[in-house]
Amino acid sequence: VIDLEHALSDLAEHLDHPPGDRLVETVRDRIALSAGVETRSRRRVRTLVAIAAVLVAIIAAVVAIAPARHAVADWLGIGAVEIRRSDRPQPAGSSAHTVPGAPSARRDAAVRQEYAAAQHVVDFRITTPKDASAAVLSGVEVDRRVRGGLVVLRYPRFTLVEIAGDEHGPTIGKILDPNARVEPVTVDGQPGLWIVGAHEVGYFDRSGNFAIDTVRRSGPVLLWQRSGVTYRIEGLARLSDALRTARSLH
Amino acid sequence: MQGHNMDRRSDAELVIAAREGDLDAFAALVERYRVPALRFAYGIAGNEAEDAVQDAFVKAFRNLGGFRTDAAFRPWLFTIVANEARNRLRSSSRRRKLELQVRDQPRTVGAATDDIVADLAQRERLVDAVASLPDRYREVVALRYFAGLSESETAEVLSCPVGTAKSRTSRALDLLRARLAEEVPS
Repeated sequence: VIDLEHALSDLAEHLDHPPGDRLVETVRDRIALSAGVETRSRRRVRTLVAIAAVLVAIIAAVVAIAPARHAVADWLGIGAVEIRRSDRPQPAGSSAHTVPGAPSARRDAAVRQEYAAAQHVVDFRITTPKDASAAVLSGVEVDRRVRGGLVVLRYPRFTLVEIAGDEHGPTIGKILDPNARVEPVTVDGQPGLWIVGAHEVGYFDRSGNFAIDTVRRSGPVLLWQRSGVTYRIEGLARLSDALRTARSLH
Repeated sequence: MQGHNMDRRSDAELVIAAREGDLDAFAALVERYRVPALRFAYGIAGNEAEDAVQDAFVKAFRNLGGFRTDAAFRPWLFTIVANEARNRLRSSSRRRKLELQVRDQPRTVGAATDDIVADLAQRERLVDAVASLPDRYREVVALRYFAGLSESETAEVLSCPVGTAKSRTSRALDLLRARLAEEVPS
């Protein structure tokens, strides 16, 4: 009979384990070697950090530009017009500069009457361009289906559409052709969009359902928002003309 | 590297110095725990012990920053050694039945030792019995008797309560007695 615990302690003295005579030196060498590697790694990290700093500066510059675009996106989201890009080409229709309701000869008195009636229907004050090129208002139409009202003012060279803002979301939808170009612009300090290309126009009804009302190929469109009203000018081929007309609204 | 084993500083003092980059201080710790670590690792992983211990010391140095100097260094170190030894055992392609051996010629022979284990054959029977233990019991034997850790230190390394370490040790001893009884004719 043996004292097992003592026997095990004795056995520890006689185990044929590797001697590890050079263990201290080996461990020390490995630590020193890894320290050297780490020094080189740190040097490399410093280089990478410097490169990263340059990249961050570039990214920051890009991000600084982004808010303006984001503001436009927000405006599109909360304003009266929602714009979506289609993955399908929009159907061809009338000529590029054709707008709904081609101008027709009307007597001034009749137009003034339509204008007055429209003002009673929509929830916002209708404004008209003072730019001399606008010439004479040739027609006024109102769409009651749009929340808050939508009024179409027809001029010989273009059409001005004014749409009530709605706290519940957009009231007008535009579906863009995949090839349509959208350029952010500023109109009297307000964000706007200059859209060149085919698009469909639809309406969000009072229940919030979206329905395409007309299918047409429209000319360039200037869209912007001011004081809760969204404006759209269609029919002017040049952005400078559209902007001049837009700034003259009163 | 001469004289590391003569360093009179405490583990905590050496750890603090090593943390500040004193490689001699860490070398003193390696020398201080080299043999018990090798014995323990040998009990776990056999001939993979030296590599396991070497890796464990290097890892310990790299992790000194996370070591609380008010804690005991030895169980902390042996926890790392245990992990390395287990990993070596697991990944060893040569793993079949763990083989442990004793030296043909004992390093030191004292009267008390000779009284306990009379000869090499007896030690060989005992080391074979240890090698045949399940891992969890072999670990506790290696910690307690090969490395000389206390019950509380063993419990810390095994991440279990002291009572569990005690009962596991007791069970390991029972198993060893049973194996030895099977081999020794009455």
